Amino acid sequence: MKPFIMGNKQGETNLVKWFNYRIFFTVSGILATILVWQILSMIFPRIIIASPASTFVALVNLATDGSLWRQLGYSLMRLLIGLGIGSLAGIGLGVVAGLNRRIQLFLEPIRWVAMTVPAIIITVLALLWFGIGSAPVIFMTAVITVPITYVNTLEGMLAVDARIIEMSAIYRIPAGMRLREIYLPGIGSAIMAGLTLASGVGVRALILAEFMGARNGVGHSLFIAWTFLDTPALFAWILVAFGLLGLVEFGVLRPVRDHLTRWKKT
Amino acid sequence: MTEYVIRLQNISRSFNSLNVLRDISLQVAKNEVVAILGPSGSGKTTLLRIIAGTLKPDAGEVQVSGRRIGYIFQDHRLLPWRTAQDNIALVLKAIGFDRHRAKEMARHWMNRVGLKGFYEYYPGQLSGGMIQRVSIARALAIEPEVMLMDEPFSNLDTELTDSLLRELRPVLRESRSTVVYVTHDPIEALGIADRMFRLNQGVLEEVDLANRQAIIQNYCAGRLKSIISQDQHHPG
Repeated sequence: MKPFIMGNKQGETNLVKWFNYRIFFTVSGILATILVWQILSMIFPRIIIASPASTFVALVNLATDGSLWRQLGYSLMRLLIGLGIGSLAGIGLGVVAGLNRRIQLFLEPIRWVAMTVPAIIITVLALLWFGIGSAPVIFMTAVITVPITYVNTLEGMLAVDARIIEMSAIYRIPAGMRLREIYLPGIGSAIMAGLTLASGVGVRALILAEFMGARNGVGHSLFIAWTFLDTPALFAWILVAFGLLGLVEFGVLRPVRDHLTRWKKT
Repeated sequence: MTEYVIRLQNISRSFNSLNVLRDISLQVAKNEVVAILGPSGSGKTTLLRIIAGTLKPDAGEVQVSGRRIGYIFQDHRLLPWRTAQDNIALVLKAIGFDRHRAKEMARHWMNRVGLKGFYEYYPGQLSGGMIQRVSIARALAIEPEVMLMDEPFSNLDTELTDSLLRELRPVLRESRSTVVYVTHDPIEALGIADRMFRLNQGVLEEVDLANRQAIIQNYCAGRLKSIISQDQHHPG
């Protein structure tokens, strides 16, 4: 195998090859999905599966009349608030549990319950406690996010190099500084992995909660399209839900992750 | 009257059923440099960790009167996510320097160990020798009363080790630290120590430094004999 050398012609050629290879397989995957979708839409009635073309038209209509951006805005706001609250709680609890074995044991059964309770139960309870609106949606997203970010943060804390911790003890680095300078940068990758996972689960929870108990947002729009059997619009809103996850992952999480792990690229 | 900074009395430590340290007593005077020799796994690091206070002995008493302890690890233990300068500044901030002064001091100590201009480099961007220099600078920067050195040059080649030892000797004398230097290489130990001990099957024995030449000759002859006897056991 030829070595990968940056900064010379051979390196640049390899880089181009790698990029083309990546683009080729990604685009092939998307095209294959659209092809299967097209075939299915030709087999099943239009009311069951809308074709890619009619979905695209519905999406353009939603974008031009502004409703796509409005509903996307509501959902994005709820998602970011829910993820923010949930991940702050999850990361905070994970750090504390990582520092104190007793707290970790105390939280273990709560974590287990939080991870196994079905999303629909949390939605029903959220609607019962908060009524229709943004509050139950944010609550639901936050509750779903907590155990995922907690588990990842805890695993990250437990994996922090014990030799570095010993070094900090010998140099008598105070607890606050140890947390800020050693633990938090050390668990950055684990936290970001938790947040990426949580954002995926969070979008699903958000759509479900909006579907059942909101007056706007992508989930609510899905509910309206479903009620009126407007299948192209329904499929268009499903695509918007994918886009919502993409916005959070590529617009928020990736830049933060790249910033936190910039030292790895050195 | 001699002022002792480190006093170990009848220290024993075992891991599972293995007795690593047996009834060890050692007193190290202020500004003294003591070397402890021993092969890998002989308990040298265990002894240093007990002096540093990160490991408790099973029996015996430890007294270390220095408040500031500098430790040069075999495996450097720098934070990979902090620059060389920030790694040093961290321990300075821990003893009360403000951020600006800590960075200034860190740069000063990096210059002292020959790393001028490498302040903003991450450990991953530095060579093994440079990383160890950062680790040395970190330990020296806090002006330690006690300096513990755990085979600091075992990962470096002989030439680099000699040059670092040459640079380190006057700095250690100047810093007036009390030093315990652990190594498996008697030549390194002779190059730096006032007194030398050998850790042999958990027991600490003082080595008479009166005839340094004889120690070196015995060591070289022993190594050579060991290599040749390996040859004889596995011909071809």
